[in-house]
Amino acid sequence: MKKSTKILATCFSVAAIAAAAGIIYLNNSSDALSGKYACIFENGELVQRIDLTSIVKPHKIELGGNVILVENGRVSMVEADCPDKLCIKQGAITNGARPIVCLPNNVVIKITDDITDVDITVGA
Amino acid sequence: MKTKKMIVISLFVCMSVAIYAIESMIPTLIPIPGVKPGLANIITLVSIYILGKKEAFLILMLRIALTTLLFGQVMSMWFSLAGGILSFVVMSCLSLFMDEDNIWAISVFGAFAHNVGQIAVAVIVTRQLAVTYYFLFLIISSIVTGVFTGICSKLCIKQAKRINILNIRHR
Repeated sequence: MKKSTKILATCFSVAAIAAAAGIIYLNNSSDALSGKYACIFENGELVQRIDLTSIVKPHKIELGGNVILVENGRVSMVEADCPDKLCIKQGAITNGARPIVCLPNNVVIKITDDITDVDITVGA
Repeated sequence: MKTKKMIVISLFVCMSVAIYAIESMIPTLIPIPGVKPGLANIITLVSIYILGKKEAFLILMLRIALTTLLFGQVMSMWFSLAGGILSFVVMSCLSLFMDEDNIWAISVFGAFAHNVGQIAVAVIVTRQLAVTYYFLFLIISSIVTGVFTGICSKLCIKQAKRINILNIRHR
């Protein structure tokens, strides 16, 4: 094995381990990223903000081609008319580490703590 | 453009569209947007080495145009374009000074650049910085798929040079 190959292989391994550590850290640091509001964005605009702590009975929200299920403390995508259905397979989210993204319909669900949280606006 | 070269280019475009079509039928194992084998990248990498950068870019653009027309939505074109062009630029720059033995690494950097482009488009489209969370997953997946497509590319390049498809000198 050549020296350059070894160096590159080491760099890639370190990058992969760092990324895995980042994922584990983000998923476990639920305290820092906990939130009570589920914000639903369509085409970059906030369309709905739901207080997840106040939900007693789970209900569904229809939004274009997507159906979102909100429960106490968690939110998930249950139906989508896109071909890949990746947003459904991702399951429910309970904290702000990971957003649910449905790219074909441009729907994003994320959980935040801050009621004034208005995400950055990129582009027009 | 010589007829022979034109035929080889169109063959490469055909192959990359076919690879893309087959790849899109493979069910996704990991439910993260953007995680896919990226097998069509083999053709881009092989054409950079066998045909040259100009031809490789032409093949890439034709592949994106055809796959968008055949399988995609309007949105997916922007993702393909951003990812494709960025990975092409990175791979062709790296191919200038990196050893041919390290094609697998060039492929990893290409896959990585592809994901950077796609995440950038995703941030612009959704206007949510939170989308960059997926980048952590894409770093890992681009290393795994990049090594695989890189090894495939190396074997293809070796074979293509052996049979000397263009009947030309290689660097």
